[in-house]
Amino acid sequence: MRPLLLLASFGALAAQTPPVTFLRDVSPVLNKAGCTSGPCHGAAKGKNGFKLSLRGYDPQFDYEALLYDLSGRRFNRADPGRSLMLAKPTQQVPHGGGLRFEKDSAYYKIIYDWIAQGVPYGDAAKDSVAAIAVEPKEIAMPRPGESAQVKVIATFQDGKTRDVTRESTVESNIPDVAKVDAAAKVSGERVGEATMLVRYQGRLTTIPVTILNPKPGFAWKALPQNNYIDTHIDAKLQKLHIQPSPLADDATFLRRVMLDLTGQVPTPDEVRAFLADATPQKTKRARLIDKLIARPAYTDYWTVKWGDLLQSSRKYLGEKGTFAFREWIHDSIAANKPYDRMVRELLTSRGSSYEDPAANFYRITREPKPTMEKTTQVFLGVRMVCAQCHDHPFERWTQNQYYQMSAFFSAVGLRPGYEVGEEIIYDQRRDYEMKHPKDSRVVAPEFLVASATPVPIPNDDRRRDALANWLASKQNPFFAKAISNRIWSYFFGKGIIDPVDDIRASNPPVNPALLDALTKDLTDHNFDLQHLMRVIANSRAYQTSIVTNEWNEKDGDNFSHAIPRRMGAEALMDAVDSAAGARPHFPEVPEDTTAAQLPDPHVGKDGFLDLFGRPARESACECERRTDLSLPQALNLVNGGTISDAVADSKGRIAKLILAGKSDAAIVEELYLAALSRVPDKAESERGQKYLAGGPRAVRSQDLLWALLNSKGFLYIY
Amino acid sequence: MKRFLPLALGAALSAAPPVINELQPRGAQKGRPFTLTIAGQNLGEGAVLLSSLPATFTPLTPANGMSPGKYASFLVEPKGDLEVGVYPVRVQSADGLSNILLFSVGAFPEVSEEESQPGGLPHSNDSIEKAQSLPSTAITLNGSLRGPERDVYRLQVKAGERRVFEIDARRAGSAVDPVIRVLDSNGKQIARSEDAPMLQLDPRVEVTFPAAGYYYVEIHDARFSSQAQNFYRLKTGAYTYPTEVFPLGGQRGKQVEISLGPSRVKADLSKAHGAQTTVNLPDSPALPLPLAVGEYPEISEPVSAPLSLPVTVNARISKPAEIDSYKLAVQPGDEYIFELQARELGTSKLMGVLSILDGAGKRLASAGDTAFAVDLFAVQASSRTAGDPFLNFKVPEGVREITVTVEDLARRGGTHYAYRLHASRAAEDMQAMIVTPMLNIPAGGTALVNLSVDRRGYAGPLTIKALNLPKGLRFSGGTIPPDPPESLTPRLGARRALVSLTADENIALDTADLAFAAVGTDAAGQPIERRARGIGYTIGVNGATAQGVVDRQRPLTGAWLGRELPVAMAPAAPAHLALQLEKTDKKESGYEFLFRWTWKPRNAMQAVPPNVSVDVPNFADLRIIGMTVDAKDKNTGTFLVTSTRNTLPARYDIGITGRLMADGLQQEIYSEVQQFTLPALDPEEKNANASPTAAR
Repeated sequence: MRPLLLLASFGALAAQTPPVTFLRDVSPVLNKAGCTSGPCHGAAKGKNGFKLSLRGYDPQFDYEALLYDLSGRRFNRADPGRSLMLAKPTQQVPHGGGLRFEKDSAYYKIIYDWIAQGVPYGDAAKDSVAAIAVEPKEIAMPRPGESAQVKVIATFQDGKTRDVTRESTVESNIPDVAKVDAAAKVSGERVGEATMLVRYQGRLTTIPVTILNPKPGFAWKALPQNNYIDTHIDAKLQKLHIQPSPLADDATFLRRVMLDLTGQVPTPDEVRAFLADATPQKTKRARLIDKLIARPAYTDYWTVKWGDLLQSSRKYLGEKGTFAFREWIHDSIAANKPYDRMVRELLTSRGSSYEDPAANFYRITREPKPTMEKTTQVFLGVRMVCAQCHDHPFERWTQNQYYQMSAFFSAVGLRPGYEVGEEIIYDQRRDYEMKHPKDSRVVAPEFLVASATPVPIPNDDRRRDALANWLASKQNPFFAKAISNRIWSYFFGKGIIDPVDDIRASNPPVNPALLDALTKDLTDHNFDLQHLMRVIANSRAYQTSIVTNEWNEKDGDNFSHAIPRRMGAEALMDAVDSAAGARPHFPEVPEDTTAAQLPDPHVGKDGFLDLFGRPARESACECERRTDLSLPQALNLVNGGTISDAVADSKGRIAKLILAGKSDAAIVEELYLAALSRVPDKAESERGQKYLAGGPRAVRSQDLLWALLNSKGFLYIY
Repeated sequence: MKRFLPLALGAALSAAPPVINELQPRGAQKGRPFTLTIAGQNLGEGAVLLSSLPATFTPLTPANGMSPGKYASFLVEPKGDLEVGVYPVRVQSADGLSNILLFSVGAFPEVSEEESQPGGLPHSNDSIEKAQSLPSTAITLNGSLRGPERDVYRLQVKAGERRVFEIDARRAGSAVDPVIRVLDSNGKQIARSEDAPMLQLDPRVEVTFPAAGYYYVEIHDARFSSQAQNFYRLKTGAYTYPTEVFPLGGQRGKQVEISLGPSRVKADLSKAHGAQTTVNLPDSPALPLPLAVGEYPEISEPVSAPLSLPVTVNARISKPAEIDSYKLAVQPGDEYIFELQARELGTSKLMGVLSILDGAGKRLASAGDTAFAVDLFAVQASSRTAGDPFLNFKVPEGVREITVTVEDLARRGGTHYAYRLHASRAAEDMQAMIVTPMLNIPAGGTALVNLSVDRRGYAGPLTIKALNLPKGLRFSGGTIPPDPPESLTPRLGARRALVSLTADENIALDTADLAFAAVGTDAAGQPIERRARGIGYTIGVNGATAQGVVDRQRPLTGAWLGRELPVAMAPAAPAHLALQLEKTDKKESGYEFLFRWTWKPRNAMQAVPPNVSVDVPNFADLRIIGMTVDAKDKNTGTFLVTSTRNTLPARYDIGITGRLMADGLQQEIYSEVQQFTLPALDPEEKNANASPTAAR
């Protein structure tokens, strides 16, 4: 409802000044002046009894709030200058938000004229913003210290355009690379890349900013192109004057690829065999990748990853439900089930949580809205949670879309089954419609973005089947991209879009062409994730050394060199056992169950694994797994029982070496191979032998292994 | 009903009822004699072994190291050709009755897991590398899972060989919830089974091996839990087994043809005793399957004519999303009970939804799809369960025809989605169950019996009646107050009754079961009486693991045995416990009842506890406060029972239990159940501060 408050007495005044409407003119002023910001009246409960929509996402609401709150006393139509709406921001009367603009400012005049004209709302078909355009579309600076002015042009629904640079919000995602001032002037601060997010009246666009290295003497040295990944990466690096590092040596590669594909460190024999293999390097490495993908450890390792994302935990699923869900994940990975099929099976699952384990997917979040949030975050990389209360501030997602997407899950019902702990996931036959919180109207399901190939949405209780078809299709602009990006991040420590589950316009890919190529490759291969991993692991970019050169030493974004990553908790635990030759022993599971084979985070809770960042599976966010290195972790490595028990294991590696009568040199070599997956260099070997000779060999061997397990060379993937 | 055969073991002197913890072995091949050793407590001389196993039992001297009170061994010689199945085994001595454990009779030669033999090393077959070899012939392997472990067996097979792997665990009285995995020589899983159709929680998998060589069979518990009854019986061979059961039952007294997949068999229900019997393929090594026994005339699908009541319809949701419909001519005001029997039988996977539609297809009522009451803890795994649905239905005005539909909650369907729909003209019904599996009554003392009544439309007051009380036994309690109208929700109407049986000092009981009935009066003033079924036995199942316990498990029970309440006399208790209502006070928010408990020890030196536990079934907002021992006499004391405005005015039962140590054993002593009446509050008082959430 838009009350017509035009008063006849203002007709003459209106004729003297250009028409001013709330939609076209006033709302942008409120947004730019900060009135609608989170700390001010855009807060969830408003401020000092006055509530506006956050960042002005709902102009209708804001207009009505201005008109009707305080019984309309915000306006003095007879004397606009005495209106509260002008007196407050100019601090003619006390205002908690301080001075927002001066009396002689252009913003004051806009609001003054608007009140004088009778506070018209405007016509959404004419006055709302159709699009914004920016100039320049891309900013490239040859060196830090340069600057560039951004200009923002809005096109309204009636076709008219206006320079709205002053009313737009321009923000930098990395201000220490490129910062921007209130007048939209961008300054280059250091070498690197940043993105400017430009917002105006719910419209967004971005401007990539590149600040090149001004250092003279760069000459691109071409490196081997193992596959299209290297082509796309090198194209970007060459443009940025970044010279990539060469390949890592075989021992380093073996350790890295084993940990990334199977979560295991190689045994000493595996290291020796790989190093001794005289097959050409590229072929040898490709064969190794194939072998690793075929190993049971590969399945165990990726089962943990998917168990994390799908929150497989007895806290939500009970014990038998958790084991059944894990088994389903494990089987899916072992069979290399196409990813789209796996996701479809989850989304369309119905039946018993014991007999149809995929249905456990719905038991974790239980309600339509959190289920939708999890679904979009995990499978599309899109975070919808902000849009539950208001339109998304940094994306195009609206509150309506939040409920439209949630409506796909509104018919999902859960009811206890016959067996204890069993639940039946079913489609409710009645009373399942999603209601909008604003006015309780029924919200029909609608896709987040239209599908290239129309997918019909049945308006019945089986609507989530349509969602599965839309979501897991090759045409979905997010689905294949999100998983390609996520898989990439597991091999490089960060995504091409990072965080991987926050894909939005304001968080663009560092190498769009690369991400597009990976996405296309995945869909061309029918969502074969093993294929994608194989391509990534075979790329030169993945096999690159961590050693940097003068041109890439400051690059952390463009995959010009490998970046050391701390081993994940399970891999670290299993690596300790492997290096020490100790048998894993966890409570509540059979002997020899490795950390990667544990059913959920309740086994060994509050122990070593949790200390080293194993996620509790309370959230579907990738961020729940911690890979930092903290003081408590360091203290545990130094003083804790895990490493000290492992090195002293009665049937462990050291006991066997000593009992077998191995020489000091052999022991040192074996321990280096077991812990660091490489042969010690001459100096290391001599130092090790000297230490072993200085006291009881067994004790000294344990000391040496303990020291190796505490080294960065053991703790990190590099 | 299988009859128990008493077997004399000798003269008795023990002072407590016997308890059996273990049978060694858990099963035997039919037609072959074997040695059975029972392990437990109070198994000394004078005990008799009771079993429905048709065999002779010759006592043997326990082997060296087996103390007589804790072990009893028998040479068992089957009489004739035993049927494959499970048989209850219990012991009775002069001091009472033991619990029941189940013994299995199988078709194949029996083999034992080496690890579970006396002296066997733990974890000696936990991996492929350490797998125990099995013969390539058909066998039944007896193994056990000691806590979180895997048992692995190696088997050599020929190319193209077909083999069935099946475990009898839950169906044979074990608390293990087993999983079978079949692995190839590289450890790659080629088959897995956890809960096979018709086998409840037991697995069965059939494999045709692609190539000759060694394969591995891995057994583990689905939760890696630790159980007291932790055995399993792995059957393997190239045998046939029932692949379906249809119909799921038949009418008592009739001959019924049942399809079991490979063939059809005749089931003779003329001698069926309880609500269930069993059916099997001739000479099948598989355990028999349960078969329901009903009371109404039966028809089978396809059913096109309107139903004629009472009737039991046998049908099946044969494909996903199928909805079966049955028409019924009705008159406004008529009342009906529709009841589905499917998942609870164990031979159907159907989680049924019952709906009633009018002639225009408008839904009038449904069951099986209603939301459960909000459970704040349901965000975490819930231990709630749902059984087969039923509906009490009163025909509204203007309706002359209704359609009853049956479908699966999750729209599944197939061979294993059969059901029995019972339809009858009745407004009020109930089902009664004796929850106490057996009873040892101390001479001159009291024992308690718990019963449960599942209301099905009947909401009035109930009393429990003893049907065959022997002379010298005194009955008390058994009162269930009426339900407030708002609690008439399907499946939420289970109510509990407490009964005490007090014996004279010197009475003799025969071995016949005691029988009880729940009795009420319907709206027309006619009595409703339903005989209570016995629970048979109860075998505990741990859900517990050391951390993160979520699944609580229901115990195994044996209503299929058709028993009611087996009773026996036990030695006199060391003390007598009396309960008496001393005073009733009306308070601002309800009533306060002062009860006095009094110990009368047989021996003046017997120490008695300073408190008792109190049970007042069905009493909403029950509070027990002020437990006090008299200062001058430590053998007596008082406590208060308080009500609130939410407590329904009615007559209630109250029983107390005291725990004391005598002869080095903790013993529970019960009082006779007493009754007391909660008067109604004035309507104004009740409305003054009544809680909107009412009593339940």
